Amino acid sequence: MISCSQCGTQNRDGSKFCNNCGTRLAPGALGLPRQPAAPQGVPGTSQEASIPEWLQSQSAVSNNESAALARPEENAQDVDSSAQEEYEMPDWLARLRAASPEEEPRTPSGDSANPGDSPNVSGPGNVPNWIKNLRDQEPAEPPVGPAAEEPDWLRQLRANATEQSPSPQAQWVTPSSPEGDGASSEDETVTADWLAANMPSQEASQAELSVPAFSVSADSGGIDASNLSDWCQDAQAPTAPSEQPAGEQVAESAATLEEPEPEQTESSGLGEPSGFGESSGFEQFFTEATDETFERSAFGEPSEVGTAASATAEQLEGLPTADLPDWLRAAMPTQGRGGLPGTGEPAVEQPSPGEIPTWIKALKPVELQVKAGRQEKPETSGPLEGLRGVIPLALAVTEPHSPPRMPSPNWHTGAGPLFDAILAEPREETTPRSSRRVRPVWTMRPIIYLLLALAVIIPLLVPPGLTAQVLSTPSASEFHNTLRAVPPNSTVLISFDYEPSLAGEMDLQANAIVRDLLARQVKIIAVSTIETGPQMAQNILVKAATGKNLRYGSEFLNLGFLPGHEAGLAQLAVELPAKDMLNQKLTNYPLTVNMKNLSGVALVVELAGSEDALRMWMEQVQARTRLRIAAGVSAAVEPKARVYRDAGQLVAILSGLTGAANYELLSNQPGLAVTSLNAQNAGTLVLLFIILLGNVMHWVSRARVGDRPVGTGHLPATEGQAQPPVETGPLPAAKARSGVGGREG
Amino acid sequence: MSGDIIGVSIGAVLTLLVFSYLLKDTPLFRVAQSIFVGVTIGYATTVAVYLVLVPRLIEPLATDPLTNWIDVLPLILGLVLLLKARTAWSAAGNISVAFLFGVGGALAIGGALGGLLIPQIRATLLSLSPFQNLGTLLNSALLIFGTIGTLLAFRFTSGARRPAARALETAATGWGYVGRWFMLVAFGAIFAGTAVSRISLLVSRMYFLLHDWLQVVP
Repeated sequence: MISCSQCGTQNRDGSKFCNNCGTRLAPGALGLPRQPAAPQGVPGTSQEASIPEWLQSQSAVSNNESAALARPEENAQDVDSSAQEEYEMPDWLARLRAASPEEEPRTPSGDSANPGDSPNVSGPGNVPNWIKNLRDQEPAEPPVGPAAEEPDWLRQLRANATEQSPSPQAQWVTPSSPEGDGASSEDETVTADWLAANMPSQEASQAELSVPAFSVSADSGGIDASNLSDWCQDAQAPTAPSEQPAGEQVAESAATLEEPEPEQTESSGLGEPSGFGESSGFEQFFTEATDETFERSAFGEPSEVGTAASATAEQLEGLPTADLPDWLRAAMPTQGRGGLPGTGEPAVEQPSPGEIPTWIKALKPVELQVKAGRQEKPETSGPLEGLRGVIPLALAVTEPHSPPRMPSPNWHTGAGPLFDAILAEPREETTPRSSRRVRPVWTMRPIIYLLLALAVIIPLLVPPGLTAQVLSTPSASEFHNTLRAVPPNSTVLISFDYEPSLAGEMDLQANAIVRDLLARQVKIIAVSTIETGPQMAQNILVKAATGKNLRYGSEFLNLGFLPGHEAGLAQLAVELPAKDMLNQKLTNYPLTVNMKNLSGVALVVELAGSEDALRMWMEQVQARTRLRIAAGVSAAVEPKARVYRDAGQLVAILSGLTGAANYELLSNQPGLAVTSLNAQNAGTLVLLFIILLGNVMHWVSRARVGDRPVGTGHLPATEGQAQPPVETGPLPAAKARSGVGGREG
Repeated sequence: MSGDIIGVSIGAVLTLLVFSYLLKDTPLFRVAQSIFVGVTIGYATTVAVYLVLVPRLIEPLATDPLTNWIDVLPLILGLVLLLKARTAWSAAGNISVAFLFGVGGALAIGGALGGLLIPQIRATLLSLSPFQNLGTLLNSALLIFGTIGTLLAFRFTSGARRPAARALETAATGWGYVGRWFMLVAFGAIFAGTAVSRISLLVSRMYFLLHDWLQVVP
């Protein structure tokens, strides 16, 4: 039983950790000497008293490991005993053991005495199945014999491999340890499996012959320790301690006391030899390195390599050279350089793949590597079996379809210097705002305002009798005649559909029409589709009825606001609203007591200040009721109203202030419209004069700048004139400033 | 009388504030503009309440709901439309919006067909018979020529290969060029009418200032 130093719990022998608190147990409890066979002078051993507790535990484990390495027999027994004592083995370790039931027990002979031997890979059971198959296909007695029986090219290959400078790794991997002589040849073979390509010694060639599957890779000569990648070198590193003598390993284990490495101690603290877990990693690396060797062999053809791997050197030598593929002929350096035997070909100096450094190979474009690999891949079935590169369409299909790289635009290449040039430009000296004199821009706008004001005001000051006679226009006469055609006591519906902003123009028409109709005893019903319309209508009606003994509801009536726009007008075409503007029922008024709809209306006068109002009346009322509608419109709406008049939808139109003045004169009641008409005509003349003057000045200035180069004047280039080429792209103005391309000067 | 003087004075001051925009966009103009906008909205709201909602919806439902029960539907639609103010409830107001758009669209399309499209097409089917009045004949011919030319002005196809088609294309292009001038004349007439209309408003304002406010004009 092992007593835990932390909690005092009694644990079973062989336990590494306390079952209660998990503290690592003292190494002395394992029954191993606390300081086994540690050489004198090992750091840490003499200073044990000053080592902290956690470091002592680490030291104990390391010492335990060292002891196990020094006495593998005892260690193995301890491990077995611990396994029998239901040691709490991790799952992964249990699976690992379960996966290798055929693992041969370590022999207690000198094989296991050599710490460099990896027990898990020493047996033939560790050889993969495919290697076994290869061995089965081999001749019964592989010619492992003296060098005289070897072919010349193999000796040359070995000689070339020997000439290569051995790397430091090759030195330690060489079985030159004191116990190396005692190692079995089988172990050496296994060790050289993955090192065969790097081993320049005689053992490498023996390993090649004993394991032909790797001899091909070794023959390629392209793999040595110096050419191995970093990861491969790292993978080799764990095997290094196993190659070292036990004494050196103990020294190193003791040296780890200064630098505790929990991972290493944990791996060694499993009660297994240190090489156990590493041997598993070695086995994995062995398999991976084998596949990697095949795939990265200088031949670049795994299938052919596999085929060649099944042949021994003698078989290769015995084959007719004419039947050998090119890659195999190239792989025979001896014959290749001196000419194939029997062919009489001259010696061709071919560089071996090993002469190309790895970093240069890495510079090869990936596309070329992939393409080369695909081109060399032969057909494996069909009539083209054995041929390669006969179906380029497959390459076109299987090649990655990446879009071609577009060259960078030219401006991008000069963007850097351009940016520097912009930054290098001196800043413009900004003058203080106070010292800068703001130059007033002279325009004719005040003169225009003054001319218009005078043109409008002066006619208003002139008495009406001094003005000329206003000529009647055909449209106004037509409109007047239309209203004159309405018999007395008839009803006319007038819609006041204009905003107050147009009252200065439209009120004159409304006043003239209402006065004339009321004077001829025509009854008026007012309505409006605008919220502000009813009140303006009411003002005009009341003003016209004042002093004429006209009553609301008998001679005139205001229906008020008609909401809903189109819907309201469509409803009005069907029936009249129930109430008027004063919220009284229409049945209460004599004018509308018997009126249900617009059928009793003789004429509709639409006073439209906008096109929409007129359009709604045309679409919703005129199209439904076929009523006779005359429109008094603003001068701005007259062109649109003329369309309806020409189509016959309007019986007459009265346009603007001019129409109102004409109507006043035609109805023999001149008023404000006639007075305002003179002012309007004067203002129109002034406006016409200003427009003509502006056009003349424009043409004169254009004629002056006609001889100047384009772009120098204040007028832009017009159609037909030559224009400078417009430079597109980023920063054209900046280019022009810095002189980088674009226009010069 | 005093009330008229105050009203006229306020109107004259507001008119001068608006005229200050001739100099530049002054704060005085902004004040007058805000006053006009506020007065317009306030007046429109008052009209909508006192001339629409109360007499046509509230009072019928309050006085005789059994007879005017149909007015409940616009009341509900109007109340639901108010839910548009809140985002979470705005979906409920879609019913009223759909009703408004549906009715408005139907009326607009139907009215456009019967009140604008068909009458205008009929108006262009003029007779070019030489037995009618010469003035009417010229007017009709000019109207037809201008209408077709205006339509050809928006013709952008080209590339005829046959000589006859090429000649027809050339004629259509030239006719469309003349039609473009018809449009320019129409645009000029619209601009002239607008200018004359605005001058009328200027005259009205000047007359108000000189006659109603300053009383210098008889």
